[in-house]
Amino acid sequence: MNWRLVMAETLKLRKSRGLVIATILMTLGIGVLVILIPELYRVAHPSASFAGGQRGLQRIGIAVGFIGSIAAMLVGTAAGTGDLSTGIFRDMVATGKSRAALFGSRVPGALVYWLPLITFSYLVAALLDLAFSSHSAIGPPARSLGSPAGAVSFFNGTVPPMHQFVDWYLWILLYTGFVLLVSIGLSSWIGSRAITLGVLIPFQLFVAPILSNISQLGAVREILYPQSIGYLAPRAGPGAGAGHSFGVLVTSSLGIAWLVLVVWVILAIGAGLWRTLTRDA
Amino acid sequence: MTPGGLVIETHGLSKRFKERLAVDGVDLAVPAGCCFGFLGPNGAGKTTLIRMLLGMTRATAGTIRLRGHEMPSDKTAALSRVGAIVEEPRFVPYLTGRENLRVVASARETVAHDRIDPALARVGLSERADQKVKTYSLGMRQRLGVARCLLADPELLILDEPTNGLDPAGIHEFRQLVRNLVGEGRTVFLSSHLLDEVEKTCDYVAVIDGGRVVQQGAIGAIGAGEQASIPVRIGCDRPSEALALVSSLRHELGVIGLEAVVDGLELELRVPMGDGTGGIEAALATINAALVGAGHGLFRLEVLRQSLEDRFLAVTSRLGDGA
Repeated sequence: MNWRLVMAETLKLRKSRGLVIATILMTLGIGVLVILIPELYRVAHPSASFAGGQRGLQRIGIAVGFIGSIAAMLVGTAAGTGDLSTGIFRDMVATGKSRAALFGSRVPGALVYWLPLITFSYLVAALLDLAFSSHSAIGPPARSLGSPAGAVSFFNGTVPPMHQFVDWYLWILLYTGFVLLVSIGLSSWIGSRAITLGVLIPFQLFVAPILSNISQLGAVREILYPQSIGYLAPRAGPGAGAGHSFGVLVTSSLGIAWLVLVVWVILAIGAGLWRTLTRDA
Repeated sequence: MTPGGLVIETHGLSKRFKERLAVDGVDLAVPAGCCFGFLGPNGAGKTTLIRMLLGMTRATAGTIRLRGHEMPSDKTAALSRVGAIVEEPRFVPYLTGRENLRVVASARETVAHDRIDPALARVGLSERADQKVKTYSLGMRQRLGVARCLLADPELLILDEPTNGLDPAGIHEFRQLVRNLVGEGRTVFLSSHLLDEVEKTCDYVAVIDGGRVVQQGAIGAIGAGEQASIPVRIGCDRPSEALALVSSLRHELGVIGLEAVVDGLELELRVPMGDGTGGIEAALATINAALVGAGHGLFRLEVLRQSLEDRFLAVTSRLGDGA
């Protein structure tokens, strides 16, 4: 891997002011908001539950994962189509550098931009969650949960155990990292950032949830990656693993969930690489 | 590549876009160390050919050798010391000039980074190097494009319409830069539809029309046939007597057209090609000696050379007539 080429990709991303502002708002901003708003409410209503704690952490995880995945699409499509849209792809090709190397630098280049951003955002939100948790002894559940076997008990406002912080962090990395890779691949294939976003965002927000509710589709619905992502989310409440936070879940097993994600990445990256190799510069 | 050899060599190079043959069996031979003009009207296939040379698009048929390396199979070696501006130079607008060069240098050998500052200085952009490219004028972008070419320490520069949009001062400056680069032993392949630009800058030229190279060679030879027909204007007193005198030398001089005008004579000489200017100079010396010897007052003896534009139009219109 050509590290200089990777850093050049990162440079193009981190110097794009609009992209930087949007992605910070959609990661750090959203992570802070989902804690601060309930906390402000609690200031006005002292009897309200704590903003932080396990419930707060779940809110952070879902919000940063979900909105962060949209931010990851912005980054991925910028990395996938930046050279084409600015017109410097031809100049990069004219250096004699292999097109595979040019494409290959987009993935680590985008990750070098993305990983510190999403990590920092989650870290700040997690610290706020800690700060606004109840530090008293674990109390009774806020309501009767009837948690399924293996699921984490879900207490209102109590400090979450460390493994929950780690679980949510890993899931956010998985969710946003996956979307980042798919976005790079698809946008490199399609060659247009706007069209790629116009396909991916509605797919994730509307099309996949609608399709997953059409029972007649049966097992075919397992190929919808939001289903796999939802399946892999940390269990954090009643009905977890059966659609508590992510609508109807149809993914049948852990293996299927991972397989679907891997296949999506391979297909998207493969298509992007193929188009980069064959495209007229 | 062998010094003094061919830096670009194509044989039967063709490119077809569905039904349209954009480049049609082009054989091109560009000698090293010269400025080579690639001349043709808009849509003639110039940019398509350049894109094939640089591996940006695949040829439908034919072969390309760049700096002695096969393209595209050996493109890394072939392009390692080639700098190119294709159509207008493009940059990442929100990056500075220096950062844009860093981006391209990252795709070249490590030493390319060390060439960034000298390249910026050479094109006069050191002062503005840390400003965003979106604030640059077109002329500055053209110069930054040349700086980007210099990162390769190029043996060959391929410049496609490099003076588009430049003001006269910018064009002059650019021309000087090109001549300096040639003076350093580099080869400049200059594609243009601007005849004046090519005539003033280039040593050799190829004319492309309808996807085919219709002529190539030394710039003075373009448009000339086996024998050049060169008009000459003679200013002298007593034109009618001078007419009779020169008329008597018709056969010896190769005069094919002769008439008296108000202040002298206009004649047309047929001069064999291949002997440089010796033929026309000898003829003029003979006329001069004859007229002066006969006591004529001679105040003008001028070869009315055809401009490249005349010759270009002749070449391309001949193609059209013959088609």
